[in-house]
Amino acid sequence: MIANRIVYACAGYTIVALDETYGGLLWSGGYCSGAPIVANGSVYSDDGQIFAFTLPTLAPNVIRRAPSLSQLKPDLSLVEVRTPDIAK
Amino acid sequence: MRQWIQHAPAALFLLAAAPALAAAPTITNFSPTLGPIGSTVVITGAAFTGATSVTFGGVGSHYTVNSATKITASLPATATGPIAVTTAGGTAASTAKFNVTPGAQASPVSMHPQGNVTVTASGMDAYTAIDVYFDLTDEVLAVSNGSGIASVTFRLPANAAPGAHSITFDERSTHKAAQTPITVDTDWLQAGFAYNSAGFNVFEGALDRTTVSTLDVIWAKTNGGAGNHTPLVEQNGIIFSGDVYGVVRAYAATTGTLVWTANPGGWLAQRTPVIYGGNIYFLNATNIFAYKVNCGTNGATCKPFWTQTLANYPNGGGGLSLSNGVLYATSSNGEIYPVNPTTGALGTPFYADSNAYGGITSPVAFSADGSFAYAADGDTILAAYSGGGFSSYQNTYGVSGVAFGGHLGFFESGDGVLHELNGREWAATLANGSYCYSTPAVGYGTVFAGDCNAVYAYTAETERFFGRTTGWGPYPVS
Repeated sequence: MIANRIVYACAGYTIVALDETYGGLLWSGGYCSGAPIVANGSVYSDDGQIFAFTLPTLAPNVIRRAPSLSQLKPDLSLVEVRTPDIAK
Repeated sequence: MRQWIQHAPAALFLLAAAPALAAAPTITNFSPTLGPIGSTVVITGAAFTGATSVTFGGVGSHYTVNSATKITASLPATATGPIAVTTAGGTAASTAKFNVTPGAQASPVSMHPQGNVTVTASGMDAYTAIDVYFDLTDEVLAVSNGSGIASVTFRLPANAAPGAHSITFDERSTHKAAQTPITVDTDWLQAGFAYNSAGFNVFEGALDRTTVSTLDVIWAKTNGGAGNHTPLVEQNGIIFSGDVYGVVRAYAATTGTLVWTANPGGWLAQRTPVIYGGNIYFLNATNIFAYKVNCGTNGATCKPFWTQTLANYPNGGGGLSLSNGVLYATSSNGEIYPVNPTTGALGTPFYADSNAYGGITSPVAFSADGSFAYAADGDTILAAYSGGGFSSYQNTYGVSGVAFGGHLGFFESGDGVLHELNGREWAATLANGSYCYSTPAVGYGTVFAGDCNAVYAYTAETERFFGRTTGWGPYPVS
């Protein structure tokens, strides 16, 4: 399968991630007996055992906190989008 | 006198037939008395049965009539104002006003990168400029209306990482603010994704050439203990699989915890399931089973909300696919069954090629223009339908399923040839006679095909432009 310029295949019962432009090996790991899937930044395969791989930045123990107002910097170039009044 | 005699029974009849006047509703209380958009408000009073409208500040809401004395309503985007309940008996308005505090909502609450989301805040100041942020990025400058409501639609960034994010409304002058969560997802709804079997997750943005090398295993879970299984699918953070013993398992995608299971029986393995409309559909050797994606928690055992028996059993390798809101199930005699995903009702089955008597061995792939194609067993036929009618291709070495890229369909044959549905045979060959054919993947103007030895990439101009071997095969890519 293909996602974000990477081809994922089950190669010799191992998952491989190849650069779609020239086939360079970017990563390999796990076990598989069919094509892996990619969803939500994670790779899943199944050969009777399901393997789940993800990025360190997306690991379950990584908590993405909502920003505080002090962190927000307005973009002064934006054009106004008006909300129409409610017709009651 | 005669007139009186004639009219009296009529008058009496009319009086007797007149419906009892419905009691007028009354509102005695509501709780809470203030809150942001989306708040659940319990309204108590009398004569609520059959309520036809519940409004907050004159704006209609979603509500449930729990009893004659209780209504539960969800606060709409509105301004501070009284609550009104309307029934056949009249309209009751609260004397006190519901006070709307700053709050925000997103619709939908989960979306893929590049998808449009409508976000609404209420309880803001009237006619004021409000910056709307996706996490830390100022996406839109909204201006609220006279009711202090701001509502805008914008496209999520292409590189939005999967998982939880925040939408923040921040008044530019006063910094009165409201915030709501939103989830970014790149679900995988069917083997092949997006029902065209192209094997292309067009929304994935987190994994890229620079990050993929950092992939690390987060969980591994024995899945029924047998190598055969259905292709994996994913939605709402749940991974689904069916095994050879007829057991369905739903795992939490981030932890591998068993969310729910089901035991429809039969051989689910190698038959493609489909997720559609919040439901997941599995096919075994005789039946289709429909489950809610979120039908259980904590390892609960789910029951299907419908089951449908097919007259001709589905072959292994076949399965379910979807086009224009209709499920399609493959069968052993080459027929394709349309299935209503809501009720399970079968439509009239049809052939694309009546010679596919050995049974259909791939899910039916659909292109956006209404073409479809599939592989079949027997003498190994690939049958296809396009605007020009049915056609078929026969190869004794076997054929893979079809992947569509745009209006073009591609498949492999066991004698090592990559085919285009229009009849073109691509000059570059896969491993000849390998039998290691699998459905290609199509994306970025390139067709990726695997055989026993490698993954190959093809374009229309260059045909094969790379072959990558990393071990011994097979090399399924889709």
